[in-house]
Amino acid sequence: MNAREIILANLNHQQPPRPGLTFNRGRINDICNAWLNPYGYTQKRWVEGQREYYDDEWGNLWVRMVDGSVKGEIYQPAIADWSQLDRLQPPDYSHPDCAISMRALFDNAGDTYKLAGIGGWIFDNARYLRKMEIYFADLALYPAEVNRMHEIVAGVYEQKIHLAAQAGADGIFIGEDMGTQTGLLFSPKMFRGYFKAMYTRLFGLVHDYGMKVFMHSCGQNWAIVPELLDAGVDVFQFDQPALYDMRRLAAILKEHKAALWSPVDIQKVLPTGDRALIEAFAHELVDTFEGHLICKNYPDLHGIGVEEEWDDWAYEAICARAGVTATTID
Amino acid sequence: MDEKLKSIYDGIIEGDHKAVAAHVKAALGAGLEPGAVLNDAMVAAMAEVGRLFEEGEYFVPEMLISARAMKEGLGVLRPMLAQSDIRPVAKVAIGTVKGDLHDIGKNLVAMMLEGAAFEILDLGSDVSAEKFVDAVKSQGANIVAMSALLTTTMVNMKGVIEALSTAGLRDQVKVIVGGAPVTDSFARQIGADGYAADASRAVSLAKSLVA
Repeated sequence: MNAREIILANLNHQQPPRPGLTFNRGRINDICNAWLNPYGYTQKRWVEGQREYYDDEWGNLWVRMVDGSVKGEIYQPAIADWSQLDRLQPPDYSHPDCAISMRALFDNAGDTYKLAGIGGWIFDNARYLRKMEIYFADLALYPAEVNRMHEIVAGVYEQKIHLAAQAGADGIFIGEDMGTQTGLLFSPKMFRGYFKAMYTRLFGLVHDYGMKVFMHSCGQNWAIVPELLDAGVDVFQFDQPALYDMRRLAAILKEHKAALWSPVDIQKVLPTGDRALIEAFAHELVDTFEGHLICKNYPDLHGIGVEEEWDDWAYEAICARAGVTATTID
Repeated sequence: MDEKLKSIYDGIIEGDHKAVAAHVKAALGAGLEPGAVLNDAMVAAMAEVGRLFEEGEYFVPEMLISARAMKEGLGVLRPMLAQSDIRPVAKVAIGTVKGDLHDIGKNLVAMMLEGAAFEILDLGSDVSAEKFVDAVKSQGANIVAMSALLTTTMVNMKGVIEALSTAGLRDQVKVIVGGAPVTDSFARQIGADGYAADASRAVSLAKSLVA
C-alpha cells in the first residue's frame, strides 16, 4: 500500500497495515498539505519593541510576542461595531489563482494523501471578527447579526471547498477551537442553533466532491462529537486526546466510521519531558485507535515548551508500536 | 426575597443588562439599602450563575452576559456603596503573565470576581513581576491572580511569587493561578496558594482564601 492508500484505509476502516503517519523534520509523512491564498491580498507585518503586529485577510489586526507563540491575539477586530458588518470585505477565494501553490504541491504529491488546508472555519473566524469575549456575548444577545456574519464567513469557505476540489484534494482540513480543558465554550443547544445546519450543508458539499472532512478542535468537545459526526466530520484532529475517555472516543469513531488524527497529547503528556510517560501514551494511542488512526507531531514545539528530542521519542514509540522503522531523511 | 431585589437577581441570571440597571435604580429609589442590593440580589445572582456554570447549564456566553449585567448594575450602585461602609471583599490584582498576550480567561475571572464583590485591579496582559509587586505594595492588593495560556509563559508565575518574597510581601498576599496549561500540581510546585480550573472556581477559591 502506498501512503495515500494507508490514509484511506484508516479513514475507511479497511484494516490498514499501520496508522497513518504525518511527521515533519524529514520523518515519515503520508500527507501532502497545501493551502489556498486569498486573491489580491498581501499580509502586512511589523515589529514594535517586543511585539509583532500583523493583519489577516479579513481585516483583523493581530499582535504576538516576538519571541513567543506563533499565534497571537486580536488587537483590533474587523467588526468592532455591528454597523461595520455591512462594510465587511471578505477575502476573495473565487479566483483560480488562489489555488496556484496548492495545485503545484498536489501535482508533485506523488503517492501521498492530498489534504487542502482551509484555514479555520465558521466559529474560528467569527470569534476573531468581533474579538472573542465580545463574540461570546454576541452569541447570547445578537442572534440576527451573528447569523448574518456566519453566512458571510460560510460563503468564503464554500468558495474554498470548490477550489480545493478543483485542485485535486482528497480532503479538507478545517480548524475550530470549541473546547476548554473541561468542556465546550458554548452549549450544545447553541451549537445546534448556530452551526450544525451550516456545517452539515458545507460538509455535504465536501462529500459531494468525494473529499473527506478533517476537523481540528482544541479542548474537550465530547458533548457535540456525536452531532459533529452526524454533520459529516470524517476525521477529528485532536491535539489533546488525553482530555477524552479514549476508549469511548475510539468506540464512537468506529461506530461512525471516522478516524482520529492526533499527536501524543500536547498538554498533559508531551510537555512533561518524561520519556516513559510519552512512550506509554504513544503506545496507548496506537492500540486504542487501531485501524482508524493517523499519528502526527505538533508543529509549534517551542510554543508548548517541548524539546525536539521529546517529540522524537513520541515518533519512535509510535513507529515501534506500529511495526514501522522510524526513518528520518537528513 | 423582596420583589425589587428579585427583579435584579432575575435580570442578572438572564443577562439583561438594561433591565438590571433600571431595577437597581428603582430599588435604591424605593429606599432599599445598597448593601442589600449588592449582597442579597447581585452577588447572590452571580453565585447562582457560577453554580449553573459548574453544573454545565451555563457556558461562557451566558456567564459573560450575566457578568455584564452585574457590571451595569454595579455602575449604578457604586456611588451609593462609596458613601456607605460597604467595602469590597478584597482587592485583586489580576493579569496575564509576562510574555503572554492571551486575556479572555483573565477577563472572565476578573468579571466573575467583580460579580462577587471583589475590587479588581486589572493589570492587563504581558505583566511583569514588578507590576504585580507594585500592585500589592502601592495599591494594596490582597490577592494576586495570574493567568497563562502557554507552557512557555506559565513559568513566569514562579518569578512573580519569588519577586513578592524578595519584596517582603509574600505573607501579605494570597496568590492564585490559572490558565489552560496550569495545573493544581504546578500551582503547589511554584508556591501558589491555589489553582482554579475556571472563572467560577476562581471566585470560590478567592473567597476561601480571604475568609
